[in-house]
Amino acid sequence: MKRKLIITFCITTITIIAFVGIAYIFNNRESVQSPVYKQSPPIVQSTIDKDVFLDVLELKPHQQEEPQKKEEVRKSFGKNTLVISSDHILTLVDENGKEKVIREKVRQVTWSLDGTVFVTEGVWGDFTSGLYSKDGALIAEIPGYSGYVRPSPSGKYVAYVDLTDNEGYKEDWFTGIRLYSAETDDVQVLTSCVASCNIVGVGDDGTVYYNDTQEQAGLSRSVLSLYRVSPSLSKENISGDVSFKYNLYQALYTRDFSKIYWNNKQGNQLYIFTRNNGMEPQLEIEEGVSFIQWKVPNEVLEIEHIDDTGAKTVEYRNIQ
Amino acid sequence: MNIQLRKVFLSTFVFMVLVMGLSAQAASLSHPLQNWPRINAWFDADGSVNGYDYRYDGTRILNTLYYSSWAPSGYNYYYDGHKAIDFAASTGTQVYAAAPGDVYQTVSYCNVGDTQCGNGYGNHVRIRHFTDQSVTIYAHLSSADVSVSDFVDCGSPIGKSGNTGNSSGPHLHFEYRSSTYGTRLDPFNYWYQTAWVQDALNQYSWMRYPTTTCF
Repeated sequence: MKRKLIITFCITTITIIAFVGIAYIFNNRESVQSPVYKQSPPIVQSTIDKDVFLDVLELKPHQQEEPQKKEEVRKSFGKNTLVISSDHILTLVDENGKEKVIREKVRQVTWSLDGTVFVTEGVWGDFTSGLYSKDGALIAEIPGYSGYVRPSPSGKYVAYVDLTDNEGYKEDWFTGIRLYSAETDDVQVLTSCVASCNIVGVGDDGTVYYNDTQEQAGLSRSVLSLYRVSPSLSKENISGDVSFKYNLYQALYTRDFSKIYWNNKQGNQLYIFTRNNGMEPQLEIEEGVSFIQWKVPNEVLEIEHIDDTGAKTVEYRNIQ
Repeated sequence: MNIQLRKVFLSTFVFMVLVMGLSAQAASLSHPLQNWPRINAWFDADGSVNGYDYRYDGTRILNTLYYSSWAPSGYNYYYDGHKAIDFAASTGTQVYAAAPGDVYQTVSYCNVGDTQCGNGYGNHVRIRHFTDQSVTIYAHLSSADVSVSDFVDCGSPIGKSGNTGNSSGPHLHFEYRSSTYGTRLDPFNYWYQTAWVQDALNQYSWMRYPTTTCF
């Protein structure tokens, strides 16, 4: 019996070794013929971009990548300054230099057009948001998981994309557009998203402006349109025949949303979308624009131009 | 046949099936970049080498040191939940199809910094392969240069690498799935799980995989 067991064990062991050997050779059969590359791996350089927006304060992705450098982004609005540290802690510094920690796990802060409130957005995996007064007092936690969080000019409403819990990459985790009312502390479901919809902004009347892919079958490429929706109005396409190549991420807009300005940083372009009553919507694209921000919200736009040599000039454009 | 013998045969059978399973996947995939750049993050197979998780630099991962978070720049690692291979690739580096197939989805409207865009993949291309309907995804691109319904061959240029979506620096996220919504698999065939520890930690050993090239 013992001998039988030993023989079986030997046969099993030989079978395993043979099988593993065959599997190894099978897996490596072409690597034997392939050259082994010896060149040094390329080093990807990152630079720290200290640009900040007037109404959006964001820790850039490449700053998130290098927390050991303790880089910070900061922006003053009135007497107070908001600072997001490299470890994602949001601090408010008052005019006397006194610091107050507002929130942790913060990736982005967006001011309302009037500068009366700001909203925070959490780091990837956190996806929680808060609505704060300009002095850093918490007004409300936005319910659920949220993305593309934008306040209305006075802070009466907050529009956001409702997300499902997301530990990593997921499919179809944008469940739709929500409208939070700071006055009633409730949330309304406005519409669903076709793809990864991006909220441009929301007015004090609760109308949400956002871009999303078109609901047309057979489109071979991603084509975006601009929509608006409110508690009393169903989704409406307001861009007509105009379509967009990119998400209008962190766009600037006038109070009545008649003009929307968006800087394509990858292509140094300024997109100006105009819609007036009785006229077809128009899209103009200006080349050689590297940065935009409000000099005076809703009135004067600061436009940074860049030429072929990399030289930059600043233009102040009255948009009224 | 007594119970002991049955146990021996059963465990041998299970082992062989396991080895066959690990050997059978992703054998026909080519490399999505022309040269072998540094790998930033391995595929997390929910497993370990000799009971420990290791980073490429040879440092053992202590507990869940980089769980669901980004490691400091310059570190190579793999972390829980990352079901793909990340290659360091400067923005604009040409990306190639790893096998023949048809393009069934593209996203090209994302800009750098818009982390949630494209479900976190940013601009990306998804190809369904003819042989077994498995899928490869090429994510965080600066541009997707193919359209839905395009047929691509192995080695066809499909886009350029970038830093869009949930990305903390320019790289290519190369993902392999059994089907459109199927299980995410290691495009390198789980090789490091069956290799010796030192081989698994050696970048140049990794550089031999995948072995098929179509350039």
